[in-house]
Amino acid sequence: MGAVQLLGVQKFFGTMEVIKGIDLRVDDGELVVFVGPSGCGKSTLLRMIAGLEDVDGGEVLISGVEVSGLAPAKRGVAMVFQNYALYPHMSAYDNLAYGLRRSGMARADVDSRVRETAALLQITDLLPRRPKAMSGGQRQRVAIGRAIVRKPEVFLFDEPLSNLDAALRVEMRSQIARLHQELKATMIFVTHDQVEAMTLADRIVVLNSGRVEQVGTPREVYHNPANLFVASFIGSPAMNLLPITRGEDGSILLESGEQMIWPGGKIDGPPGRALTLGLRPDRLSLVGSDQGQISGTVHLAEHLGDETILHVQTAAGRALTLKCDGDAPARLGDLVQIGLDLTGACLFDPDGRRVQ
Amino acid sequence: MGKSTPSGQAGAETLPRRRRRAGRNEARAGVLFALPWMIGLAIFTAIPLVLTFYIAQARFQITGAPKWVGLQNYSAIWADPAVWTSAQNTLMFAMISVPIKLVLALCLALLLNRVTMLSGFYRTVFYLPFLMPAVAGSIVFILLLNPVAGPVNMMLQAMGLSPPDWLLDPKAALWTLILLSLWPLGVETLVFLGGLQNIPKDISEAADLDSPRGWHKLVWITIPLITPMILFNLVTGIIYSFQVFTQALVIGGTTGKPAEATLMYMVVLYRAAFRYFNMGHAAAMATVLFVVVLLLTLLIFRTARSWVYYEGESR
Ligand SMILES: Nc1ncnc2c1ncn2[C@@H]1O[C@H](COP(=O)(O)OP(=O)(O)OP(=O)(O)O)[C@@H](O)[C@H]1O
Ligand SMILES: [Mg+2]
Repeated sequence: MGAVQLLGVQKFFGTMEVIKGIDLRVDDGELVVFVGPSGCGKSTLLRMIAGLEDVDGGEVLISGVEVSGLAPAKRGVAMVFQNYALYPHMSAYDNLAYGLRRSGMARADVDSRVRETAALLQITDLLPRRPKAMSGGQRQRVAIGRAIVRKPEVFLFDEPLSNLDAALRVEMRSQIARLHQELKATMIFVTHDQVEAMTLADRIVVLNSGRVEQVGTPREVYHNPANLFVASFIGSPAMNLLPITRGEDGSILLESGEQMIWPGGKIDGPPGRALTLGLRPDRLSLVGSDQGQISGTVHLAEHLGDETILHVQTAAGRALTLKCDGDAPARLGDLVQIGLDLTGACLFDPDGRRVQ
Repeated sequence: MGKSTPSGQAGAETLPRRRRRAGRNEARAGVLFALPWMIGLAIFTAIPLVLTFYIAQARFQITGAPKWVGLQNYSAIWADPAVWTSAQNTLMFAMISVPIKLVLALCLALLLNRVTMLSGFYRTVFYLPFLMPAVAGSIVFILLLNPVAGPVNMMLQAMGLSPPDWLLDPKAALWTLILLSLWPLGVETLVFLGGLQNIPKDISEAADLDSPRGWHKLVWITIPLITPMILFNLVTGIIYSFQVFTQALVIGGTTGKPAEATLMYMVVLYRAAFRYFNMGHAAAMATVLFVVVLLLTLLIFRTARSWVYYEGESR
């Protein structure tokens, strides 16, 4: 019940292949988040599951049934659109009731279902109002209400929170998380927002130009990115990427000439092998003079209160990002020494594949 | 902005006041821009309208000065059987042709809305009949419907049907006129098409997700969202159909052949004015028509509150 399976799914717009053969299984009751850069095909993939776009190759299975011949309304899916897409000529009540009425449900049952859903989302007061007379957050809740009132097996959310302000977004995010726990339904959620993805997802699917780059729990994609793309896309501020070479003894040779020992022992491959070292900003720290591996000038200091993000330009012209304490003394233009902590660091080969 | 406002004074002004002045300037510019049109409206619509009201209460035969006769013209048209016949015919014509026309135009617009290839071509083709003079169109129809050599009857006969005598059978003639008036559907169709294309794609998709039946979406989502266009087409359609003239004159002449079946109100009015030169009679008829159409339109607008959805309305 409620599992979504994609088998080699493809989509063409004209001659352009937008979805390039995606295999994915979303288990029943799971909340999966699609992330990826703009134009990578997140919405398209979601709309193919909903039946709003034709599938040009491969198969989409919902609850084990191949759905390509099924109308959107018969797939047991409900979708929440970015712009709410409420029926503007109907009250919130009618927006919620519309689908139920059309399915031939008795009046009294429709009423109790609508009221039950409204209570769950705390929109009972809004029921007599038309969408025009509601705020963005209220509309979004009604839109979510319209989706859950039909008790679908699969919920599809296409960036539902992106039109809300920051505070409301946090509130709606927790509401969606709560709904997911209460309804135990399968949910697929598309977002641009890193925090949304990390906090909501059981698993994250990282998409890039129509392909899946990695599927994994938020911890996995953050700590164990499968490749350079995932490493640089997930995490904010982004991972630092430094070109290095393998030293004679399997150690790391930085651009500055400094040598470091790889925590796991030795780096594979021949000496002189060119690699990219990926380090999260919190693994870099300011250290006293002649203790650091890299030196550079502070380019920009973002004081966020409890922490400070420093953007540093190294002598070799690389841009590095450091996450330090809120009371870090560094100021714009300062020459700083940076120490590297290689725990949790990643190594990528020139093709972007993770090697260690 | 204004040269007359010294900068020191402008700084001292309160913001709302300055804004009010800007608004007034804007209104003045607006009036200026609308002026040519307003003058045209006065000369070609308002003045003739007032003159009509005046002549309706006068005996006026084009030559000589109008002579005041009070309500005599009105009692004359009340007593004129041709007026009653034509009023009845016109009402019948309006009641049948307007709904059919709206439904056909809506169907056409729904079809055109789905066409993705050559859509501009189809839109132009359907609009073209409107650009054709009504006289020419009517004559083409007379040729097409000719009982002996007309292609329509030949085809019907070939299919084994016995076609009516379109133009000479009193029972069929009104329907022929209706058929003829349905031909230029272009404007109504384009108005509907504009409404359909104004419906946001995601709302239409939400409806697809809510119910698999196409007619559900049509009845509950699409049609309610284009009610402003329905209202517009309904009102203009009624106004137009009450004034149907050219086609009726071409088919039935000034006597509404056959047997007064196509005798329309405007034809009787025309006959009074330009055949009998009884301008007072014609003007009184025009005034009655004006009042009837006005009342009807007001009535429709009154009911519109309950069935027309306007964007931006929050009720
Ligand atoms: N109807 C369409 N016709 C042609 N190309 C399309 C169509 N819809 C989407 N595309 C293209 O398909 C690609 C994927 O689009 P999609 O909307 O799925 O991206 P997305 O990942 O949702 O982006 P965003 O994050 O900006 O919403 C884009 O390159 C887009 O230009
Ligand atoms: Mg999108």
